[in-house]
Amino acid sequence: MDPVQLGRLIDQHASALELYARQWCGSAEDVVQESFLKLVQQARPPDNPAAWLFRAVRNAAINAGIAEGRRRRHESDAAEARGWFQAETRSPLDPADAESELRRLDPGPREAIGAHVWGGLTFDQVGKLMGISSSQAHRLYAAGLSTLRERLGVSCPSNRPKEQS
Amino acid sequence: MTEIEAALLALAPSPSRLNRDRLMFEAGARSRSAVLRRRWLWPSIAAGLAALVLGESAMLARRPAPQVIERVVVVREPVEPTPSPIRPAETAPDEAHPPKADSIDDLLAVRWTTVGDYRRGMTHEDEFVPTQADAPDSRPRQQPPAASVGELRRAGFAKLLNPGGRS
Repeated sequence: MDPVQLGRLIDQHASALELYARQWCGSAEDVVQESFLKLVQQARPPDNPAAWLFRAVRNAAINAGIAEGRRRRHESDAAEARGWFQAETRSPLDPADAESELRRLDPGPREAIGAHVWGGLTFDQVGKLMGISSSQAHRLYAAGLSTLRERLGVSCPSNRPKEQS
Repeated sequence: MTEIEAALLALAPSPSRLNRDRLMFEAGARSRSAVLRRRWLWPSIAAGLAALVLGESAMLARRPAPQVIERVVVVREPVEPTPSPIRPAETAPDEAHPPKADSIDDLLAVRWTTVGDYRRGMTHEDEFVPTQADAPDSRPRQQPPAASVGELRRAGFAKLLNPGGRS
């Protein structure tokens, strides 16, 4: 893999990968960096480097989370004052509320939302990433969105009154 | 796309805290080390095999010549008794003095009896006891008793241990 390609991948996916890794561990930067280095060392570059990176980050983050242990995890959580999202945003949602509600979600829907919305993966790729079918991944995603919609108070399009023409 | 999806998508993840330059440097270093490892793989395998061939060649060159061990093996052939010849005087019909017969049937009966005796003599060896005068060479040759292995060994040892006389 040439440096230009690697630099482009870092620019495009590093922040989403870190957000994805924070579900499991506090040392998301280290995990993401190691995953990029592993990608460079591959004798044959993967067909879809983004999907490969998400998979590598997922495995490494789960292992790191187990290794960190409970105490270490609390420390890293306390040290992580930056939050998951940027404060300045065009979104109607409050970033802190969105983060807290995402943290409260079940791991499956949260992972599906993170990989699809910010990772840009298709449901087929999300299913492969999580070891489930694409339809199961879609169901988890829809269930997570529904929960977030209720908790964050976002109006549902189906409940919206039809505009009188 | 639903509103909640759009709203979530509008939330930008916190910027990465990765040190991009350091990551690129590390990636370059690791990729170079991987290339170097791959470059040395086949030469090291070839060198190992060459060393193996040289070692085998040296071993073959220094190997002692095959030792030839000569042994005399005595195989005794089993002696089969030779069948004794038939005395024609006893079994063959006497042409000079044919048996008397009153009729042709008696004559035939006598002839067939004689031939039957002759044939029986051909097949039943126990009916014939060859005599010394008739078949002097027909008896199974009485070989001298073969020396047993123990006797041969004793003789060999005696010969071996014999210091010999004064010269």
